[in-house]
Amino acid sequence: MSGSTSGHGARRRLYPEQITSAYTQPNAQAGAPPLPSSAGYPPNAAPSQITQAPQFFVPGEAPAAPVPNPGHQRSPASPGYAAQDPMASLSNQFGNMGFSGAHNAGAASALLAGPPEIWTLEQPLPPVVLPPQTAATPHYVPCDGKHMRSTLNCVPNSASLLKKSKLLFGITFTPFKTDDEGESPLPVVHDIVRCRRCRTYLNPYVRFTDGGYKWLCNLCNLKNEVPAFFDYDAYQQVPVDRFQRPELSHSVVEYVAPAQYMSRPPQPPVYVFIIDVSHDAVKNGSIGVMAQAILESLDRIPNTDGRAMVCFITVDSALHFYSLTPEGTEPQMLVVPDLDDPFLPYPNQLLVNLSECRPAIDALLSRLGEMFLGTTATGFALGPALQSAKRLIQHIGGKIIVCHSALPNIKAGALKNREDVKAAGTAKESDLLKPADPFYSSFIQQVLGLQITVDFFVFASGYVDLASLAPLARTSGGSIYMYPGFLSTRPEDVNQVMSEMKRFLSRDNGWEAVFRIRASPGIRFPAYYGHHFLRSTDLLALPNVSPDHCYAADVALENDLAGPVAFFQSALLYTSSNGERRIRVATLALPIVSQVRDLFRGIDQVAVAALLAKKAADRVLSAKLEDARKAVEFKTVDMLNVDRAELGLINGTLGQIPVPRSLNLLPLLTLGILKGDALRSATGVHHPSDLRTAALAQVLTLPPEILQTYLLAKFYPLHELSPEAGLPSDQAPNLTQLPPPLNLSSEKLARHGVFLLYSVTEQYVWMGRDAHPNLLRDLFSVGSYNELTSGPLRLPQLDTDISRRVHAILARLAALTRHAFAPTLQLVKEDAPAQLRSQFHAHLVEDKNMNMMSYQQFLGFIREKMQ
Amino acid sequence: MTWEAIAYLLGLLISGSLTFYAVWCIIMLSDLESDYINPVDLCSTLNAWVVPEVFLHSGLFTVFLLNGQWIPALLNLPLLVWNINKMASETQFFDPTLVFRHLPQYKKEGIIKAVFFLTCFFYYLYGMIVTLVNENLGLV
Repeated sequence: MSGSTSGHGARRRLYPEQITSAYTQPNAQAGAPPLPSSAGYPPNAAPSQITQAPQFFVPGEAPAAPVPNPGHQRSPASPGYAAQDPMASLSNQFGNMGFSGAHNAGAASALLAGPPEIWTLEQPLPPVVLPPQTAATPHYVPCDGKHMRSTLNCVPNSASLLKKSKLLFGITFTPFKTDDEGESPLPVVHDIVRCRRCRTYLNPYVRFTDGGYKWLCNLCNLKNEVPAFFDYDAYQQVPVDRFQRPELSHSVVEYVAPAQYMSRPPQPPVYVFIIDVSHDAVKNGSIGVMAQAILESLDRIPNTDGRAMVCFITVDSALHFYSLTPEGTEPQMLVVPDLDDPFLPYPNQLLVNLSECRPAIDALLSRLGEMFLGTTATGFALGPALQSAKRLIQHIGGKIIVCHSALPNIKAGALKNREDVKAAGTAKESDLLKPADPFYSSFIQQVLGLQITVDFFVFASGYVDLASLAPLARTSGGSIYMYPGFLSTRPEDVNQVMSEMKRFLSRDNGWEAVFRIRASPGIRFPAYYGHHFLRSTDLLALPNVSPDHCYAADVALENDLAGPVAFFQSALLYTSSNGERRIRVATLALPIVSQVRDLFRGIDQVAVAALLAKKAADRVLSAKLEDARKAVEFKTVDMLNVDRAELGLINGTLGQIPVPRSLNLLPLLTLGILKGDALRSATGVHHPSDLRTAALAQVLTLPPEILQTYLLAKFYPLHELSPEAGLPSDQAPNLTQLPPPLNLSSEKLARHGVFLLYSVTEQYVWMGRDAHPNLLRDLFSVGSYNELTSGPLRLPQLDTDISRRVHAILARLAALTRHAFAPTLQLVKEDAPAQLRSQFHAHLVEDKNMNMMSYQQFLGFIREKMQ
Repeated sequence: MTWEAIAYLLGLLISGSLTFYAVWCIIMLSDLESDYINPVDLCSTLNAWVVPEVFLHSGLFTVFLLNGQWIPALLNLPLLVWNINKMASETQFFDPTLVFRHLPQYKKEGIIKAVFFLTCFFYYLYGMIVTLVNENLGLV
């Protein structure tokens, strides 16, 4: 601390004055949450000692609520910091300057030098501060970031300001998000009121004028009539309070749409299963597992009114259809060997009502696993199967679910094995990510507009050319689930498939959906990212909308924005599984600012990283892998290379990068993007193109709050859990608290430690050689390190404190993704096989690994580029 | 009338129709932008004309080449190379899933083509007249 209290003359010690002057500024931001006081983690110690560590930051316990705190006058040299033990002086200085006060001033700064402050990732975002009276009623519920999240929680007033700030401006939407645990369901409204001119839905931000008889549209400023039923209930003949209406008090509401919103009667849920029964699938046993998973989920398929329809097609060198009838319990298999022009035998007995034909379907699925055991056919005619499925459901629409293990290799849509190990790291690798066969792109063009979605469950042990198949899912709003090297003899593989498949089939889908975003005049959305088909410049067609899928849009400003607040409204028109046409509307209001420093205060760096990753994934698919990587690096450097004088940033010493506080984790997040499975450089390390394609699909579809963990895994020390981790918090009794995350660096691994690492699609327990026997007993119920073997781990439910807490943490982590993923827990012992260890270490992004830069090297790279 | 004049006359007709085609493309793309047509219909309509356009243009080039008219042949060479390149990389057709991404590029191409064919139209007109006048002068 001595550096900041003495010698004001030296150039590098200018910051105290700057900070002091920043304090006295009247517009100091109200409500930035107080930050933790120390960068330090407790030294490796017995759990009992940790309880006393006062400097420990706990996300749940931090005064997280955005308490307005305008009169914040803490001295920069607060005594609490001076008493710190001598850590690395740089990070100490950094901690003091960054935390103790400057964040409350115009643009707080951070100096990037030491390890990244990864725990700040968990902190709540700075709140959106709207001018008073923006909303019609003071007690309204603003839009949650899980529905709609902007990379900036304020909007620049002109394109030149946005350009000057060099920031990435975009919005992510999860239009069909399911309710999280403990969340109340969305309010439902039965009368739709919209602006006559711009078709905006009535929302909490409209203003009532002319004595309450008119409402002023907040997007286009047109005066609209207020309908009579707003104030008077004609049925019960009583006056009502219009501000009790859900669309005026909630930013996210669901409307029940009348017949004008239907071009045809709402479609029933339709599921067509195309199951690969060729030799590869028989060998890995995926047929039986799939059939079992489907059988067990039949009761959970959304089918409240008994309209759901199913069809099963099994494929090898011929197509097999199954004639199912309500009377018979014996499904009849119909083989169609003509693949050039496959006909549909008994077309009205193939696609059948699930409830009516249940006995026959049960009989088929319980036998499907054994039916093909003797198959030696190596052909897999996916193309003809897709065409038949399309012909079956083209008048309705629905889901085609392809479960395959083999490369489609005969007739229409036959693909070749073009994987080339030598292409890794060269320009050729990008070609492997582009579709090879025109059949699939022409198939896409046939199904566009037919409301058909294609999803993939891939069980391949070898190459399946997912790059050629993935566009089907990408343009139709489908998902891709990949299980490389699946074997039904491994219970952990079976468990993962069963739980992911069951959740996939039981989740509530929106059918025949379209999605549109409206915004204040002057705001435009030049590009959209995610699994969708762009039907016009602002209309996304989603044949099926999955609750797990997120869409992102770039935001561009065409002309200067007027007024104090800008509005974004998203509307998703869909058919629910019980045949109701509904519109889900979310409205987001953001203040318009005119200063660069205000913009920087409102950065949501997780959303920035999510958009950056989605843009890069999109770029990989249209250009070259290397271009996408370069673009990410360039944009990161560009955003960090701010005008320091303008923002009043403190100057760091040599080797430090002064950046705005709100971007302190951007380099780490960027490193996570670059080292992730989607964009990782394959120089020297082979990275199969199928895995990369699957990872690109994840990056394009995951919402920011999950993508954040996908990019930067959560890393916890189980041998020294903070005292409240794994226990319910005081504020939310049904929510388990997570421990503060560790830096993703192998320096954190200790010989006596046991660590948990969770990255959405993978989870690991790392165990050191000298792990404490008591911990092993209490957590794994074994006596010594040698009793456990590396590989899949089934964590026993033990009646010990630590076991209960670890299970609670794992359950909370699974709930983060709304159970869409159920990765196998892998045990990585210190002496685990090299492959398993490298899989684990790939997630430690701060290390130098996979021939890529470490965090410190990356900072050096940024510093170099900034000059 | 000599072969030369006939070649120019042919050029006149083809470049005239291709000018109209290019303008029509621009109009269709603007329709897409203002949501009067959906991308699937647009692409199936435009794709039907991609091959005839390339065929007509390369036919014209061949006619000039066979007649030994180097200047108009040279004039058409860049577009021919560009067309061949597009065919070789299989990007000649409009893809409804990507059309919005490439919309500004397609419009730019349309405008350049329209201007090019219009210029050619007047050049061929000039060429034809000059040829015819020379023929007549030779006869007199």
